[in-house]
Parts: sequence; structure tokens; C-alpha cells
Amino acid sequence: MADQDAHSRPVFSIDRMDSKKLLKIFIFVSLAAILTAVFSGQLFELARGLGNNSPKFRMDEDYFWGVLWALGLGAVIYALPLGRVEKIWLLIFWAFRCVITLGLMLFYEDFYSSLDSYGYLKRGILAQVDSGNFGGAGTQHLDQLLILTNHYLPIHSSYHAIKVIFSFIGLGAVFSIWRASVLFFEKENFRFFLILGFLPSLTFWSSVLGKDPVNFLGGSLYILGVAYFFKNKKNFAFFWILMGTAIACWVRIWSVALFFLPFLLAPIFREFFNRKIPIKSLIIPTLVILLGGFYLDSWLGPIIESFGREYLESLNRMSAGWDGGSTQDLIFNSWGAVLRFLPLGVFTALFRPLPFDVNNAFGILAGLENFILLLFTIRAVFKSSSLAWRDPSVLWCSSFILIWGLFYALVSYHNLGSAFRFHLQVLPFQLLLILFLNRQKSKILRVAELKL
Amino acid sequence: MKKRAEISANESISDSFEGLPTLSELATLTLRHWFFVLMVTAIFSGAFYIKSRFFATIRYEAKAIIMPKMSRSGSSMEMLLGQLGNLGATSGFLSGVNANTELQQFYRLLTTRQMAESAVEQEKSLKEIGDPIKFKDEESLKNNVISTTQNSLAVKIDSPVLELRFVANSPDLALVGVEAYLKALQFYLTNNIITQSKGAEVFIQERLADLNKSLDQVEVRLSNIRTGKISPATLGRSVQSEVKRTETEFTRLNQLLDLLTKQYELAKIESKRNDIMFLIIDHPIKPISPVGVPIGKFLFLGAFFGFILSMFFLVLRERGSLSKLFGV
Repeated sequence: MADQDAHSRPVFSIDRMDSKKLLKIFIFVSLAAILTAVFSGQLFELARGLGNNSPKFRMDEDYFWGVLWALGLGAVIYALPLGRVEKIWLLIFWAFRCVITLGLMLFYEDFYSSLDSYGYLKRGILAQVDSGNFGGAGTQHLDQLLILTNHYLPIHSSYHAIKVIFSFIGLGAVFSIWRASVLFFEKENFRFFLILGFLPSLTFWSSVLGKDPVNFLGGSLYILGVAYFFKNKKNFAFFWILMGTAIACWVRIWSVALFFLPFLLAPIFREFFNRKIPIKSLIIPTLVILLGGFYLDSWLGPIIESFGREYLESLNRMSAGWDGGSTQDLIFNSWGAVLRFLPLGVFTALFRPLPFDVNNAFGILAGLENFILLLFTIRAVFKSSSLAWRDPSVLWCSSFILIWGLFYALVSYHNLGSAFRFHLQVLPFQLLLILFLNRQKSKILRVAELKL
Repeated sequence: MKKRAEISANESISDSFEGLPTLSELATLTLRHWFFVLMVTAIFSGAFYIKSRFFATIRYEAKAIIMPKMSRSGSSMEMLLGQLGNLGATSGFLSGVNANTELQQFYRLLTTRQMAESAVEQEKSLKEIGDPIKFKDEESLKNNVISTTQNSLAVKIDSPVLELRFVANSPDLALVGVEAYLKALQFYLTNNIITQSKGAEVFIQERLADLNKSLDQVEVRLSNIRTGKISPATLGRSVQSEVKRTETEFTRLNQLLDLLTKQYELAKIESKRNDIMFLIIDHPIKPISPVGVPIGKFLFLGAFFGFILSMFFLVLRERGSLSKLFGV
């Protein structure tokens, strides 16, 4: 009723304002305008000064288009047909993203003289010959997308503008995950929305010019599809799952395996948990794997290695392919060594860098964030009821996390710098798993409720 | 908590799409509201105009495009860059570049602190054009030349050329900056090539002296055998075979002498040659207009910003308190 009254009110009480109040507003607006003008002027100077590593000159002009796009996309959020509360929060998240994309990221770009983003800028926007490696098909797809974007959208070859557009894609992904969570939990958990919107690493890595925001969007649409699946809305589910998989595969082809293997693995887990084997008994299989690793080395090693030497070498090559600033040496001489490494590798992919792993500003921040995530995960696992582990959503989510961890174990361990970025793909799943495990017993989803 | 729960219940998924501040609400704005929007837009655009017109730092930019001369072998450049050692690393480029192309090597050279210092040394006028930049001392001048936030050189690779731009507060300083860098680069390369060739010349000279000595010894030994000064008993083999062996060695040493003499001549020529290591495709000229965001664009940004802000403001005010809006 009160809400209806608010609608029936005149749009703005300016109609009832006298000249004194108007004068006050005028003075306030003028001061705000002066401050904004001075601040933006300084910001342009900063963008020029800190943009020396970029393949482009005159980064202040480039920055202008970035700011304009940020404002324009803010207006687009305002015009979207969304819930009022959601919309306001999205606008706040967008402002936060703009501060990171057009502010903090300048220092990051100044610090690292060579970034993947610059390669995309060179090839996709500036159409320059790049003497470096072109990467796989995903890189080329993104190059083509950038060429088209630069051609059809008025971005004027601006690096900052395209970065802002990618950040908007990241915000779209955050919104998808939020809507998925509403479907999963049948309520609007705004705390989760705030975590998604303000998590530093998630905001940062889903705002860079690169594959990460696109892959993140694919993953988030996939989550939305799975949420619809658990709500027994098959048409929506298949549409979003396929859409998400297609987008993610477009930049990282192996996403198809990551997205569909959990559906195969989850039933195995379900059987495991249905036999009421306590979660703590997982320690024994882990020990078996570790000991098996040692035995493989001494007994079966030579036989297996004679078959698998070639694959082992490709594994080493793949791992070494992701060199960077925070590289750790990782060379496998046997398959046993690979097996022994996996628990550490999976842990590294999911929770590292931890504090003191990487001692720079980004490393410390990511370390703290991962440490908190680890604590919450441990708490959720130990506080969860055994019933929760039979919940299909938990099975699906934990299967995805495990498979993802196995996929990225080598790369993430070899280069903790890349681990920052790659972690973005699995972070929403980890957050969702914590929420699933914390779910009240009465809310736990049962397999029987699903109409498969 | 209770309030939050209520709001959460009220704002269910289906309800949240109703009663939104959508664009249709714009139709309900009165003339007075539009006047307000216009006023805010005008104030913001005015403030942005004044800032860009009267308080902006005017900067000029001079540029040059150079292309490494590809006939010169890359290995000599690599040797030169090896001498840079840690200087190359401090430029922060070692980590980022994987291919050893000449362009990247030039980039590395140009972005070292040593090159900045050399540029200041090369072009004394860089020190004289102190106004409007006031250098406190020599060190601050060097810092300024390679600084990222003040007047600085920016180098970008656009294969197969390299573009250099120097931004400064005056057109003269911008031009002098680029020219100083070009001179410093040429000076550095030439100086090091000559040093290298001189080194090679001395090395060959020493080898030639050794060779001549050995040749003399063999010649003396041969004449001693022929004249019978060395007895066949001390030789340990027949005189004919020893003569043949020594003659073969004499011929080999003579051939080596010819070869080294030729090398020596070439090294002497190389050491005196003042070779050009790169071509200047686009020579720097004195800039005539300043760079930076044009006033028109700045004005537009202010207007756009003011317009969006005023529209948001209208909606926020209409919707009551922020806490109610946020629902938390």
C-alpha cells in the first residue's frame, strides 16, 4: 500500500520547492561539478602516465572513450527491466567495477609490462602484427570478436572502452549466478549477491580484456541452466546449459568436458554417499592414491612409463606452457609422480595462492581471499549433515569443483599468477557449494524430487 | 532482520518486475524536472569546459619512426645487449618479451635508464629548456626524461617499425626530447660497434704475431734439417719424411697467415666505419598543436555525466530513503 502511495506521488518534489531550496541545490551541484571536473582531469593524466606499457599512444584520449562507455552502460543498467532493489545494487556494483577497471587496473597495467590484454589490443583492435605466440583457437576467436566489436560499436579503438565492455559482461555473469542462486535456494539472499558483486578477485578478473570474462559468463549461464534443471524447468535448463557451454567452449574448448563430466561423476558420488560411508573415510582413498603413487614408481613404473612416456612429456610441455611472473618448477619423471602430485595440485588450483605464497599486492589480496574461502569451506564441510552430501546440487557442484581442480592442477601449480585468473572459473561453484552445505536440513533437495 | 525478511518476501522473483523505475517514468517528468536536468547538465558541462580550457596542463608531442637496419646481423645486437646486463632487466622488459627480434632489442635499449641519461648528455638544451618544467638537479632531470607520469619518452613496436614519442610541456622540448633519444641511440650503437671491432682488430693482431713467430721457428727448423745442423739421430725418423712433415706444416701456417691477414684488414675497416644501425623513416618535427583530450570531448563528457547523474538523482529521490531501496 505504501509502495502504491509512493508511485502515486509526483515523481520529484522539485515541484514543491521554493527558490531557497533550489539555490542550495544549485550550489551543491556546482561544487560537485567542479570537483568531478578536477578529478576527471587528474584521472586522464593518470591514465596517460600509467599507460606507457600499452601498445597504444595517447592513453588519455583512449581513456575518454572508456569513461563514456562506463557512463553509457550505467544508463543501460538503469533502463533494464529488472527488480528495483536488484537494479540499484547492480548500479552500485557497476560503479565499483568502474573504479577497478578504470582506476586500480591502471596501476596493474603500469606494473606489468607484458599482459595478454595487450596482445588482444594489438591484434584485435590495432590490427598490428604480433611477433609473439598467437595461442590456441580461443585466442583467435577473441581476436575476431574484438575486430567485429571495434568495427560495429563506437569504441574508437579504445582499450579502456573495450575493457569496460568486458567488465559489463562480467557483471552480466554475476547477475546470472545471482538469479541461479535465487532458483536454487528459492529466496533472494542479498548477502550472496553482495559477495558476488564486491569480491575483489572476482570483480578484477572478470573485468580484464581477455578470455576470463567470456568464460566466466559461459560458466554462469551454465549454472543458471543447472538451477533451472533442479527446478524441473527442462526447456530453460537445456537452453542456458547449451548457451553457457557454447560461450565457454568458444574461448576454452575443454570447457565442454568440465561442464558435462560432473553429470557423469555426480551419480557415482551419489552411490558412494547413499551407502552412508562417512565423509571422513575419504582420507583412506586419498592415502591409497598416495601410496599407490609410490608403488607405481617402484613396481609398475617402468611398464607404464614405457607406454605413457610420450603423454608424460606432453604433460610437462603443457605445464611449462603457462610461464609467467610467478612460475614454480614442475617436471614429472614418472606417472607415479603425477599421481602423488595431484592432491597438492588440486588444492593449489582451488585455494592457492595462500598468504605469503606470492608477495606482491595482488598476491597478498588473493591470498587473504583464498584463506577466508578455505576456512569457510572447511567449516561448511565439517558442519554439513550427511544428508547434504546426497543432495544432487551438492553432488553436481562438488563434482564440478573436483574435475576442475584435476584439469587445472598442473597449470595452476606451475604458475600461481595464472592460478589467480583461472580461479575465477571455479569461484562461483565454491561459493555455491558452501551455501548448499550450509542449507537447513528441511531445504535439502532430494533426488526423488527431480523429474529426470 | 524482520524487516529484511519482509522485504525479501515482498520482493519475490515475480513481484520484483513490477513497479520499476523504467524509462516509461520519464513521461511523468514535468517541465520543471526537465529544467532541473538541463541545469545540472549545463553546470557539469560548464565545469568540465572551464577545467579543460583554463586549468588543463597543455602538452606537446613530437614523434619519430625508426626501422632497424636488417642487414646488420642480429647476433652483434645481442652481444651489445648482453653488455647492458641488469639495465635491460630494470626496464622491466626481460620478463615480457619472448622473441629476440631486432625491434624488441631496440625497444629494450631505448627504455633503459642508461639511454635516458645518455639522451640528457647528448642534448644539453634539454637542461636549458627548464621552463615550465623546473629541474631541481641533474638527477631529477634524468628521472623526468624516463618518468611515466611527467614528460617522457614512449616507445611502441608496430612491426616492422618502432615509434618514439616524446611528450613535453613545450613544443621545443618535445622535439629536443625525440632528437636527443635518436642521437643517444646512434651514439650508443656506433660506440659499441667500434669498440667491438677494435677488440677484434687487437685480437687478430696478437694471433698474427704468434703465427709469424711459429712460422719463423718452422722455417729455421727446415733450413737446419736441410743444412744438416740437426742430425738424423735426434729426429728419430728419416730426413725425407721430416722434411716433408715440416714443409706441410709450413704451408698450413702460411695459409693461416693469409686468412688472418685478410681478417685483420676487414677488422681494421670495420673499426673505422661509422655505420648506421637504423633508418629514420619519419623524422621528428616541431609539434604545432597540443595533445590530450580535446575541449569538445571534455565538454561532452561533462554534459553526459551531468545528465545521467540528474536522472539517477530524480529516480532516487522519488523512491524514498536509500535503505528502503536497498532492501537490506
